[in-house]
Amino acid sequence: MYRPRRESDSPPPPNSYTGDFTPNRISIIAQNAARSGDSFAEASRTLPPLMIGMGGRRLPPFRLQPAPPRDPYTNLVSVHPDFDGETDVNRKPFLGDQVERVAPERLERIFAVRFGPDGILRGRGNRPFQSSTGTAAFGQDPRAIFVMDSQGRIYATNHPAPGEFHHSSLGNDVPVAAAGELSVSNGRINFITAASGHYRPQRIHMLNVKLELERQGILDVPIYDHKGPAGGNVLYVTGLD
Amino acid sequence: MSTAYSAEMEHLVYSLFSAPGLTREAAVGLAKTIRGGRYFPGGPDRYTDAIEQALARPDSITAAMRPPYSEAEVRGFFGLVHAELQRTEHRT
Repeated sequence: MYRPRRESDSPPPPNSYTGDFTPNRISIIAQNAARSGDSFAEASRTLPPLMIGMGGRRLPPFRLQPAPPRDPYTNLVSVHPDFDGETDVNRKPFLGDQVERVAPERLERIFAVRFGPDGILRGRGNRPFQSSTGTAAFGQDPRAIFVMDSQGRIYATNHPAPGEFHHSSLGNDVPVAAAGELSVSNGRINFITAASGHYRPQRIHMLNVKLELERQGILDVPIYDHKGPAGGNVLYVTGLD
Repeated sequence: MSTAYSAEMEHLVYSLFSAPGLTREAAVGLAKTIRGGRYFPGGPDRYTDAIEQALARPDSITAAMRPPYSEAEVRGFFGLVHAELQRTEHRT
């Protein structure tokens, strides 16, 4: 089920209000806010207007700069140390093979998948993403592999190759917020699994992808453990607590 | 493990991270995928030989990647896969 994003779903914008702020005054307001439990904005209203010198000249309004954007997902997971040597053709695992790493520009150009305003997951060329050409090593329904970064950006491919292209190729040696498999039909996600031998995501990491899908208005998507729907347990369903 | 087909065996062990379980049904599915040749490159004979060699040796199959199953479970499972590959050898 798709629910359009509402304004109320978004977090409040970063501090961008104006006021009489000097470093000393900011410090006083922050202390008052800490004492009273009020927000910084609330506490700033309790101080009288700033007066300078005998003339009582007000300082021009000072605009507080918005804080730099922070990564929304901070519970990240790195590639399991068992795979430390995989990019070296002379080291195990995958001795004789070399597992690829995808540079950021290529990652964005080829493997990025994004939800449109209609709730459809789209990939390269803005086409609805499909996992029908993905892998199904055990005869299950085909799936794509994916990783989600700390910003909630999802990268996926239907063409992993043992010893050559894995989740770690998409992750490019950067810790990820989630990893696993996607089953997608015409851009609609059927289910997600936590199957990734490289990242071995825990429940807390799959919560990241649940929150991201919910932020995008994508509801009723079951998220399974590494065994998937045939033999595994449902960890979460988007839209449900 | 230092068999001539250790890479093939690693490919197979790695696939266990997305297995729905180590059941006979999963073994049949994996054997079918190996026979298909799209995901596991190099042809089914290489994988059949790799399993045969790995099961014949006392070396751990699971030590390099530590899949979410015990050594005994994995050996049992690849025994089923091997049997299925042999059973379907002349059907492709």
